Amino acid sequence: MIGTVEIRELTVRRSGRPVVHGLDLAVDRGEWVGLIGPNGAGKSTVLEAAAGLLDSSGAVEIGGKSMRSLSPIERAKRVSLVPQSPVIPPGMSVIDYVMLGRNPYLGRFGVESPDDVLAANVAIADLDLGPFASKRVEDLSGGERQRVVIARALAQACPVLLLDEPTSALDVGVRMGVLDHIDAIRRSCGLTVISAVHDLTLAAQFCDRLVMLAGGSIVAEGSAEGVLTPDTIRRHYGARVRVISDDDGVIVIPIRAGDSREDGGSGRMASRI
Amino acid sequence: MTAVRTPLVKPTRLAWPALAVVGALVAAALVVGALVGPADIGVGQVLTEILSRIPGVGIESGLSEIQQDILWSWRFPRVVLGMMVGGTLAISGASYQGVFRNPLADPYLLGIAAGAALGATLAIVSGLPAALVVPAAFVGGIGAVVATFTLGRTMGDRSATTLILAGVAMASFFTALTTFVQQRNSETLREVFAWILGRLSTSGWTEVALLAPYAAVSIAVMLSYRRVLDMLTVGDDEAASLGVDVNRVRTIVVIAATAGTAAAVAVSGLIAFVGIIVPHAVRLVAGTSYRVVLPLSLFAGAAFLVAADLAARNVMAPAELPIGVVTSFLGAPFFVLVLRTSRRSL
Repeated sequence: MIGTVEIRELTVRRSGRPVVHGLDLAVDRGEWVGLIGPNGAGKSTVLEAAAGLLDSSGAVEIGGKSMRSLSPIERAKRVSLVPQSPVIPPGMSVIDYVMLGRNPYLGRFGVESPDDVLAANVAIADLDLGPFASKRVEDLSGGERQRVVIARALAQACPVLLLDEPTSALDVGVRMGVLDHIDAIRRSCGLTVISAVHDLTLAAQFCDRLVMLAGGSIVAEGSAEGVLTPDTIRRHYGARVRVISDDDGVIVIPIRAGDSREDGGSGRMASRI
Repeated sequence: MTAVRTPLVKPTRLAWPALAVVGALVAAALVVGALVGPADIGVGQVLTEILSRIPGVGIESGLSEIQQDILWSWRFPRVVLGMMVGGTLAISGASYQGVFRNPLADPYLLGIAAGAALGATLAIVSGLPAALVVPAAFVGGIGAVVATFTLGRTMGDRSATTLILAGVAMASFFTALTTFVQQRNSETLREVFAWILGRLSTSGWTEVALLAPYAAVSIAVMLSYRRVLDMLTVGDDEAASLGVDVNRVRTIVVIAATAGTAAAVAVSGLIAFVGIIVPHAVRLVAGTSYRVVLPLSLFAGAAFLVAADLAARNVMAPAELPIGVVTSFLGAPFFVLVLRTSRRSL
């Protein structure tokens, strides 16, 4: 199926040192998988390798096709990537920037069809960027820019969307709105999403499955309840947390080291420490 | 989330008024370039002479044979050559700035100027016929860029930074060789420097015919990649994720810009800064999209170099300044201005 992702024995080296080694990951069409883990765990590297941007050993298949066997255009029709630190070109307007996402569908002479223009306008409207469409991206706020980058990825209209810390610059309201919108597309179109997320609560709220990386390998995988345990988080993040699981889902609350109010998990709420 | 706004917001495209403005500049440069000179020929005569050569028009300009000869054998070839050289240098500069994402890049960066200077110097000191100086400069310019690419690849990656550093190294090496050859052959220094400082004096349409095929092909290739150059502005990785074969695009555009520039340099000598001044002036007026910058730079560069040539011919008349001196006088302060305003992107 076109939206499936299969990564087998993925190893990526930087400066001769393996930063991801022997990683296996299979994602179904329409599934949302969250990559979590401490800084340097290899989350961004896995996403870049899945997008076919890195030299790596092992296999990355999207919809049963090896990324290595595909041309850049074919890859860009299958996978779109929202990078952690996107480059904002000076002087480029929002509409021109979002139109970059339509590149895989343009003809040899690069003339946009009315469908391409419509797709870009829809992506802009969906992310509430309509009033900014003619403005320069560099003149927008950090959060607005982040939405513009996501709009570009949505205009790319791929079955697989890779998000590398997609909402780190957004306030909580916009963040939930953007993620809800991506989730709605996922549910209606079978979009497959793999996202690297630092916010563990957010990961738990939106992802069907969490994959925790540490040192370039998978150290835990499964549901939010199964992966986000205080022990696991303490072991791999070196942080103390309280994990609350209730009707709203799993919520991870960091606890300041040495905080006397922290009771080790015996609070009245349904915490599991 | 909100509904789609109507009418739809359209992406940047080349606007006809902008094209009309630069087209008018080129036409004005052509006419003024043909008017200025010791022989007094009026603007009406120039225009009717041009029209009279169009089949089927059937009008007479009233110019004497000598005046016609001055126009068609001296002034027009010079103006047309100036337009071709200026347009090629400007669009090549803009293309280099796109592929290297560096506002101060131009084809000279990869050693074309140094290589062409060495080729021309060797041809002159060897006593080869003047007609062979042009091909020698072309071979030297291309050879320097090939050497730069070869050196860049041996450094292990194909990034823009590596290539630029390799270009700096090769340019220094070729310049050192040129200086060595010049010192060993001081009797030809005057001739060598006359070539190095740039000129548009021609022997009729020969240089135009030499340059035309290279300019036509390289300009066509660069124009066909103008939208892809916009894609490269987001960086190599993001462009690749959007479906751009970055290395292939960079190689093709660099080859096109290099071939065009090498041919231009071979017939005109080293005319500096056109590839920087013109694209940046266009950006200031028309925005940063390469869809707009490339075609407008082509026309604006053509008009600019004819204007610079007019200045070179008249500032110290009857003596003639090397046109490279004029463009450098204008270009050096402009370069500093660009450097000050674009430090963040360097």
